[in-house]
Amino acid sequence: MPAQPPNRPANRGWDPDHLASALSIATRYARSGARRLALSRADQDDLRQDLLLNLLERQPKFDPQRANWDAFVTLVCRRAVIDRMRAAGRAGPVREPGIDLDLLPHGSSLTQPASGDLCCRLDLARLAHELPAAPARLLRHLQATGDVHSVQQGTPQSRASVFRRLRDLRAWLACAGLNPSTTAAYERVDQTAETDSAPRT
Amino acid sequence: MSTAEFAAETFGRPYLPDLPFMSERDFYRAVAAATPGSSVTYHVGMLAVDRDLLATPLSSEQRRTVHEIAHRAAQLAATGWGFLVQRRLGTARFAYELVIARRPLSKRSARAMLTPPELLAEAA
Repeated sequence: MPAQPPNRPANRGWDPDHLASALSIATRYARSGARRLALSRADQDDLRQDLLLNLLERQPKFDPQRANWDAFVTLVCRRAVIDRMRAAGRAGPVREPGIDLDLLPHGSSLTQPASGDLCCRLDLARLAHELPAAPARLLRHLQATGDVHSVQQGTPQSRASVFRRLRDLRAWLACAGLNPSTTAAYERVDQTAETDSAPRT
Repeated sequence: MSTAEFAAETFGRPYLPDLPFMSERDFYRAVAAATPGSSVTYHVGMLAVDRDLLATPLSSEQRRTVHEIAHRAAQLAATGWGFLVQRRLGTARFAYELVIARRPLSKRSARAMLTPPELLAEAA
């Protein structure tokens, strides 16, 4: 019985021009997709790899009689980014972890982790009076919204500028002895959720 | 004449800073842990030479760290968290220190406590 050929596209090899244009177009579409999906730099690199893999899979379907290589690569990358955005939109509701309410201290909130700690709120309110104007404004903005993404959305500044100011604020907080971290209550809840979801033997 | 050449000519030997340097995180921790009146030595050597892009004998990463720490110390002093002083240790060798200031606790508390009355009511 003859051996069955592997169900893989034949590796015909790309000439350097095709490879260069594919890398360039995939990088451009990965950057565009990362901007729309608010991805980090590492996720952007992953998206670029996904686009190139997608291209590698569809490369046997390329027909030079129908279109040139750049048009083919553009079409494949665009479709892959659109599929990725649709998949992100279909992600569904956030998984709810199993929470034992008895573990939470009195007055704490699951939806407001940073402002749930009264001592932390008082410390930050005191510190805001001792900071220079720009970090103090950012700290108050963060306390009001409770979310870096909301701060970034609510300011006309670029994302890089916001994160530069955020880094500066972190340095001020560290100098004041206030290191941003989750509260002990939330760490306990996370540990409990992990224990509950762990497979039992 | 560059700063390094000037230092070499003035002090009779090429300038070499003290190693290793304090990292940014170590500096923040030291400032956070320091009591008023105590000092945090954030650099030993010649800060102007070490911060200079062309004259520095340091690597770019070391120069960036020294620059960031010196910039942060200047900001802390400008905001009233401390005072910048330098002590001469020897030829071409200075200790750059941030003396932690006594922060106006009563005034600070008075101002801060006026701001979030709802928090204090909640605390009470």
